[in-house]
Amino acid sequence: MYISRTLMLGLVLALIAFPVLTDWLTSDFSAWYRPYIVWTLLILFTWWGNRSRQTDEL
Amino acid sequence: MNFSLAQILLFVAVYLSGLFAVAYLADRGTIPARITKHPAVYVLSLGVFAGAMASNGVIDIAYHYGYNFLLYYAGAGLVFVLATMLLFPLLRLSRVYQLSSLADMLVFRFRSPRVGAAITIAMCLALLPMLALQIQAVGDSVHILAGHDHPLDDAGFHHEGVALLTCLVIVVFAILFGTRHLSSQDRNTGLVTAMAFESLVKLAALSLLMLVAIYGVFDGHGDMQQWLQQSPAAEQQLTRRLPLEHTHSLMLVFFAGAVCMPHIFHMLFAENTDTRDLRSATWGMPLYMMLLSLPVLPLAWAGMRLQHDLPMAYTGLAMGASLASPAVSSIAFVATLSAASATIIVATLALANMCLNHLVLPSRLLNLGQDGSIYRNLKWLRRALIAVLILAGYLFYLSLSGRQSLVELGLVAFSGTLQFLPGLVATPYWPRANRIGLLAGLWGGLGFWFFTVMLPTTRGYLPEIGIWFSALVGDTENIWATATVLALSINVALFVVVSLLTRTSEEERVAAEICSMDDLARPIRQMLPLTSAAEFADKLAPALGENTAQAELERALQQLQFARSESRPYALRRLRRRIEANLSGLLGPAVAHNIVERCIPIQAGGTEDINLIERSLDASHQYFTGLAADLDALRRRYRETLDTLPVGICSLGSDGELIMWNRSMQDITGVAAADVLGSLLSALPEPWQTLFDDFRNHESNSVLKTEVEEASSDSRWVSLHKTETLEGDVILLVEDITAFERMEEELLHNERLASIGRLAAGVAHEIGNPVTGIACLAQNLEYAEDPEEISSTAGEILKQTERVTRIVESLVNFSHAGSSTGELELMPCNLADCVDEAVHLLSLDRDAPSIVFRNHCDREILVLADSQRLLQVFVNLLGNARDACDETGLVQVQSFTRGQRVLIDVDDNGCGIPATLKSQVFEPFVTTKDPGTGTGLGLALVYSIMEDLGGSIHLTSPLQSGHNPGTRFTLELALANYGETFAM
Repeated sequence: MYISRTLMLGLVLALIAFPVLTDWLTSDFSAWYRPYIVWTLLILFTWWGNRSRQTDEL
Repeated sequence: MNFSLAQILLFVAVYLSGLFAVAYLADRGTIPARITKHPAVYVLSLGVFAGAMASNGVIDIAYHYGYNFLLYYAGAGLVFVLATMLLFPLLRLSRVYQLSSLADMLVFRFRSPRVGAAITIAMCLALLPMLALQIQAVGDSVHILAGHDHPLDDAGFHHEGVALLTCLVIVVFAILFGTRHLSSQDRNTGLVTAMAFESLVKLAALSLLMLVAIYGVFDGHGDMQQWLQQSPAAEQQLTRRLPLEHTHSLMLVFFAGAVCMPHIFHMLFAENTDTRDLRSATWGMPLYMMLLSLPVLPLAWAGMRLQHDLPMAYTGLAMGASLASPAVSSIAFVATLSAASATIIVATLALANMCLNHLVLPSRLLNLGQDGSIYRNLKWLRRALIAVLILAGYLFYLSLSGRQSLVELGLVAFSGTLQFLPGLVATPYWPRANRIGLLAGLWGGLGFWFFTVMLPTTRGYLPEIGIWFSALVGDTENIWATATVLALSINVALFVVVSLLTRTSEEERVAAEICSMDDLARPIRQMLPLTSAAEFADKLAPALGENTAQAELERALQQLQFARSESRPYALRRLRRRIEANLSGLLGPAVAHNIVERCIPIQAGGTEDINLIERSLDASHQYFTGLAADLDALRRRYRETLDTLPVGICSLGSDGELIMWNRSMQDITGVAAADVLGSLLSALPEPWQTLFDDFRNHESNSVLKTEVEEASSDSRWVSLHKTETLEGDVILLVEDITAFERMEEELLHNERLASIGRLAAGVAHEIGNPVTGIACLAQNLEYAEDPEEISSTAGEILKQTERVTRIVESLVNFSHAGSSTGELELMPCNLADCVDEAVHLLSLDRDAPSIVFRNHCDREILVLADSQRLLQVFVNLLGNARDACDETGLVQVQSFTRGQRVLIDVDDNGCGIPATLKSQVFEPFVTTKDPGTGTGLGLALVYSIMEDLGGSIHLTSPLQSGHNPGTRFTLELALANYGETFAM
């Protein structure tokens, strides 16, 4: 199965951090931007995981 | 402020004209390719996923369920974050096998036209609410813009008429720019660019609305924050937690929708021309979704602040009305129009392709064999289907009468498409799955969805199963979520159980291996009933028509860079696969597979295609980790070892196909591996073809030495060995021994020169005597007067001259023997005469001990040999015998016939050969003589000549006990008669 190790690591970390993360996201009602912080980190993580491929490898 | 219908129509026309212009300019190339081919355009075109649900429906979700609206974006974004697990394997299949829709993909995997038909019908059913949602969003918006407060107030003709007109314009757009290329492998540049443009417009419009909400409805960000702090209703709604199964269901349906829905599937795979674009989408699409989600909360809060009467989905329009700003209303309408039109266009386009490939073509409504009209007919059929589908969506919308909210319609469609996810996930990950399981699961899941979700939501009708189910669940509010999860569970359970209990066909098993990313594909090397590429057109002509068959063959040949005369089985197999893939892009995989199987059937049997497996491994080695990477490294190491061995290696499959051809083989034969790998042995150039073919059928497993004459260069000498594997492959080892042979020839020539040198003194003496005699006789002749005396003296002179001539001839014969590199000419030779000649030559050597030679050979026996070479053999053997003897030496030669063979014994009573040297005497440089007296090449020369003559030589020593044990060399040659000539 061709799954990148970065992605596997990310998934495991997300699973571990999920309860803490949801608590943090909903703890402060006025901090509505918090989900977007997590989202931005996820985008950066995905970008980092896919940055090295330069060829059309199919 | 209200808009008149004419104004709205004009607005719609201007916007859609802009869309037409973008598509037209992109197609014409006026918009530069660096823009239209940019990954950002591909990423933005994927924004087609965000239809009216994103522009309107999500605001409703945010209003009622707070943060849970993010599940819509997160579910879709997650598909791209996990792209390597699902999207890349599917993209690989889609690109290689030209699969442009979900139905194509599942038909390719499960090898059944029924699967295609089932998926297509089910998808049309599930997508109807989605199409109706888009049309309803536009219709309701028109209704509100026209001045009605609520969409349900007046379901009159006007807004439905505008919706219908919008649908018709969209039909024209889809037909003009979506059916430009028939094959799915060509990108519809205009369509992609227009969709990217719509995504940008949608994002810009929603962002502007967000600014209007923050700075128009609220007095800036600070005011909004303050309002939030002081509004318990907002807090309650924002932090409202849904039951867990509801959250999971939402996440799951949006995840499934982002990959299974036909419009996103089409943009993702059919319009992708470069993997790097999808790689950009892995982070670009979540980024776009995040940007698109940013305006949702401010808009929902603005809606709460305004407390308008419209459904919350139309807050943008409500803001326009509240602020009395036509511009704001227009922006809100543009957001809806761009989102809805994009989804309608691509969804109907994709559905039309599915209907054509899986409903129309398999039912043989179109006669493909009719020449010259396929492409045109396909184009018109596709156009008609687009129109029918959009109008079906419109009729479905009309039948709803506006009873449902946008979110309800969206959720029905999303939960319907969720039922396709198990089949899609099984495609790359579960080789055991089969078509019976898939269909069972699909009908089970979709049936349950239809009765518990689709009918109650869209028709307001709850069938018995629905009543029973809602009674069981109890909580009617969450019935959608529970029904969705249960439908999926039924689907998966049936899929797994039925797949495990029923038999998977061989065809499905092969397709599963091709699709599987877990197992190494084990392609089979099968033979085709064709001998050249040109024959493909004749075979395909009955199914496709002559012109289309020729056109498809040319297209495939051009893509593979093959000539029409191509005849390699490997190349023909690739050509067959390419033609099937191209036809799949044109007609769908089911019809394409059917045509190719029918017209170009594969012969039974076949073995693993090692070349293809190696190519796949080479192409994907960067993915291997751990043990797999180690094994691959090991494979490469052994491969490199085989390639760099200084021995030529050629492996032939049981069908005669060349599987391996290493570098040494290329050097020896001058034939490049790329030219012959995958070919039959018969494709090899001469003389190698005959040589290897003969040797493959030769009973012996090795030929120590054989000469190969190449037209372009000097002849070569090679030794051949072969072995057979358990699978029936034959491995040929070819060693180039030309250099060794040339050196041996040179050494043997040197030995001959040495012999001539040894004989020279004796020759001089032998010639000296008759010359002296001739001188005396000439002196006598000077004074002789008697004619009788003159005649007698002249006769004596002639006799002496003949003697000299004979000596010189013998020497010349000997010196020439073996020096020729020309063809060996075998002819009958008198054995006894040859032995006599050898004895005579040896007698010229005055320095040698004088021993007795006895020739007992039968004077009538003829052997098949080259007389000069045979003379050389006897000179060497008799010379060795003489050297081994003392003064009492006796060397005897006798012959016997045994059947068609002649045995010749050369016996001496010399010192014999030590037992330790007996096994080596025929090797070069092995001698029993004192240093300086022998070169050690004589017997090696004899051995070599006897092999050339097709004979053999054996040694027996000692012959007797005692002081002079003696030695016997036994020669064996073929018996001959006069009149026979043989060439080797």
